Amino acid sequence: MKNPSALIIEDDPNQAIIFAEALRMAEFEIEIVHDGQDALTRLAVITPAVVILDLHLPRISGQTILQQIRADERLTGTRVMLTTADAHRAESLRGEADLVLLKPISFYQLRDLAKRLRPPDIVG
Amino acid sequence: MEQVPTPHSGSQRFGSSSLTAIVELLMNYIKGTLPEGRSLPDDIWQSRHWGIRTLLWLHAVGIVCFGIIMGANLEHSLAEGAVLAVMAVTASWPNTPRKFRASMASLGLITASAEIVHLSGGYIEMHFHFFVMLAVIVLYQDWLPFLLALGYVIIHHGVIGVLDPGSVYNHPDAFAHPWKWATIHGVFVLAASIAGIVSWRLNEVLRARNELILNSTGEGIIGLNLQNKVIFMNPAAAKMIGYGVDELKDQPLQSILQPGKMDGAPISENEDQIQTLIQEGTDQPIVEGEFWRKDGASFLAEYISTPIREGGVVVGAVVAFKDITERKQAQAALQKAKDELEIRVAERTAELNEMNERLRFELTERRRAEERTRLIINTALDAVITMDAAGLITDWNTQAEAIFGWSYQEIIGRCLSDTIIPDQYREAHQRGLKHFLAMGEGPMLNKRVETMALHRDGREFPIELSISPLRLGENIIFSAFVRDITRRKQDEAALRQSEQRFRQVVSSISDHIYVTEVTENGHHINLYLSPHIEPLTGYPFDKFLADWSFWPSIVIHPDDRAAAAAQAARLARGQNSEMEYRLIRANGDIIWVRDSGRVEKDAARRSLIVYGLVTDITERKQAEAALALARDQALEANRLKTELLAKVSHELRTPLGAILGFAELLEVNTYGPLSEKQRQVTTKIINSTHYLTTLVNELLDQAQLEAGRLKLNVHSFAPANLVDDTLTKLSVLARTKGLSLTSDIATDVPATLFGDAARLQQILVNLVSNAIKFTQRGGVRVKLYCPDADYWALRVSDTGPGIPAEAQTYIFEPFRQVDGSITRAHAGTGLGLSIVKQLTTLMGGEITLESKVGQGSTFTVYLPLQPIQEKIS
Repeated sequence: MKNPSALIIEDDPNQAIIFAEALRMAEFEIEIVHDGQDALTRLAVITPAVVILDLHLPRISGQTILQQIRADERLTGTRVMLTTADAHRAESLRGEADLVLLKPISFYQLRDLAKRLRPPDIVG
Repeated sequence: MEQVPTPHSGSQRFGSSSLTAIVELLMNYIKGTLPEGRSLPDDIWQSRHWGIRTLLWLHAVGIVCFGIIMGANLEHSLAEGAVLAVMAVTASWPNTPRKFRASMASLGLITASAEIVHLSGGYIEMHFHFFVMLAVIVLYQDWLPFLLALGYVIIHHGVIGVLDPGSVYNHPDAFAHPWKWATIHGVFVLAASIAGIVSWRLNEVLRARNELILNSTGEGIIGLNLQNKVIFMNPAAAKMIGYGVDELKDQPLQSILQPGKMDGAPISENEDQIQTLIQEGTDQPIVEGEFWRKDGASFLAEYISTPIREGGVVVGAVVAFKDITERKQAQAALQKAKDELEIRVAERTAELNEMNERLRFELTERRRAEERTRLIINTALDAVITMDAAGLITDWNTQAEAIFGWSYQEIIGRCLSDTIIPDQYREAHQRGLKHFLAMGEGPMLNKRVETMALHRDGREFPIELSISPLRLGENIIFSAFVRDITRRKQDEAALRQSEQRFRQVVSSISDHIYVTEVTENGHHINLYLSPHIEPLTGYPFDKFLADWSFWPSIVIHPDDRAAAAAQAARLARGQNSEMEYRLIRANGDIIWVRDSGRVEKDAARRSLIVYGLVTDITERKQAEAALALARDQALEANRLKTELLAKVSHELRTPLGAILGFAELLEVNTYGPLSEKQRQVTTKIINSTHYLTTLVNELLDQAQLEAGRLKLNVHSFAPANLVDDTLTKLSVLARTKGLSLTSDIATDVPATLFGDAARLQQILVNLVSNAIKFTQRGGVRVKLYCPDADYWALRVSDTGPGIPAEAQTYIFEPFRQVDGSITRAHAGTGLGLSIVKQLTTLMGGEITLESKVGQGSTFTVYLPLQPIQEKIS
């Protein structure tokens, strides 16, 4: 039984750690990138079940990455959770992402949500 | 003229009263009735003669027998007979005149009588034979035989009777008185003669009558015998056919007279007709046929055939015919004339008809034209009045009736000047009329003139009229078109007054008003300029009046001229246009003006009329500029604030996130197990972070709301879910405090609504959490319902302490809490309700509060079912 993978795209290191812990608790394999560019590079290769995407990334905006994910056929099964401090942005993007989380995000909240987003176990 | 005597009737016979008287009478009669000795027609004579001869022959033979019977010897008898035979033969001697033969015959007969008497020995009764013979001889209707016979008788009786009475009379008395017997016999012979003569005469007369008829008639009459031979022809017939009267005697009808067909073909048809007639003895109808003349010509005749009957037997036919050539010709001519006449008549009738039609058409046309004229005159808006040279009204249309108050009936024929011309003008009118009639010209004629007229009811009113004289043959009539211009005069006065007022008004406006006409080819003409142009521009009024282009080319600021020209172009296209531009006043000052122009099309003159207003807006402009500056500054400030907000929002949340996150991680023993105290402290950290997060959120919301930067995200959502989510979120909180938390969703609430679900949840969460916070016992109820057709409502009611009235006034203000102080007794920024209210207002709704101290509180949020879009300021 392989754990599903999650990709965390977050530039704030603290947030990244918290997200990682939450997802680990939800039994995901974690991968973290701090940079939009790296994210794209990774996304070209891997197929995470869940992506935690911070909208406020430097250089490349979270929106762009979101669009990339959505455009990528390989990643149609990938669930995307957006994180943002901007309530308004959050509202406006509600339709595009599977979930929008408003910072500060409760760790518990994230863990529970992640559990729910787990793809069904692949019985080996 | 021949007298036709009345025939003797049978009653008037001899042998009555005295002989002398009778003789006298007879003598008178005889005078008138003496036969004229006309000959018998040949055929009749022949037949009679044949009869008489036969009689004579009979006598010749008979006398022999008689003699023998009487005792005379044969020789004697034969001799007697021979004498008679000789006489008979002589009577038949050919090529002798009739008179001769007749005489012979008659002598023979008398001889026979004498012989009979002799042979009978003077037997008295035998003397009657003489009478018989005389009667027979009369048949010849000829003097000579009759007289000879008579003479013979007389001689015989006179001579032989006297000399040898024994041979004449056998009566002894006769021997004794022979002269007596001779006289008696003589008398009776005479009487017999007279009778004979009379009958002869009558016969003659009758014959004469017939002949007369035959001779005098214009009709041709031909007698035919059974062999179709002509037995007689009357003079008319003879004349018609060109033969002598006796020429055709005994000639067959068809050989000479050949009644034939019209086309000349000889037919026996008609002849057959006559034959038939003769054979059947029937009358034939009148037929037309062609008769041939002796000279070969033919003529058309009309004839009728009638059978001659004698004793019931047809012995011949009479053909009566008429030359109808003339008649036919006349008929033909008549017919021709008639035909011609008919043709002429027909032609003439046609001509007349045509003429009639034309006339009728013309008449109709004329009538129609008249009607049309009348219609025109009557529907004319002007009164049309016609007056003759005498000044009398001859025509008056409907409008005239209306204007002057006189009906047609009342005014026709009346004097015009007496009726509709006011007193003061009457003389002038008469003079004018006289002048025209004399000179043939009139100053008032053929042009529009304004004057006063008189209404029937006595009042004077202004009219405009135009009079035209018309010459109709010898007469002159005047036709006037009259219009009541009372109204127009009034309108003119009103207009003048209005114009006056306008000028006054315009003068009182400090703005400059102008009216310009823009012609089709782009010329601008000043129709009106208000006097304010002078103080406005500092240039004299006349400068603008004289030259329209002064304003756009001199007065308008050079930098704005292009734009102003553009505006002028827009106006010229018919577009209303407004523009603000600068003017350079005469003294060099620059002012701002607003030029608003409205265009109207003057259809009559095919040009545009621009109505414009020029207002000095310099002050306003300055104010505007200042305002613009302030606005820009404010906008800038706002922009900075927004940026700050955004930044702050992000900056604040990030460390908060870290704090919260790690504290929670600690709590779940991610970094090792915690002691109880460590756990408690961690929980405190978490709670504080939550609180701080809420504060930050509320602050940020408030800032956003203040800046007007808060945008609603309107989508459809399920209100039921809204309520349920809220309750789920807060149920723990309520349970912890031992409060009930219930919801009630009305059935008339739509399943989906439009709105910003997140903000609505914020509102509801705020209200419910407040309710839970401030209530110690009991519970909180959330109700979702539709108070009316346009709104839906969220109602949060609690069983808390209630809110005092004074507090209710400021409770929705920011940073205010119930007891007027910012305390942390009830954790909260005091912003919650303020934000709730602002959000509600933003959504186009309303929030109300019902509360009494000790009786709980009820907050109701009313929201429109049709949300209004937020306006961005």
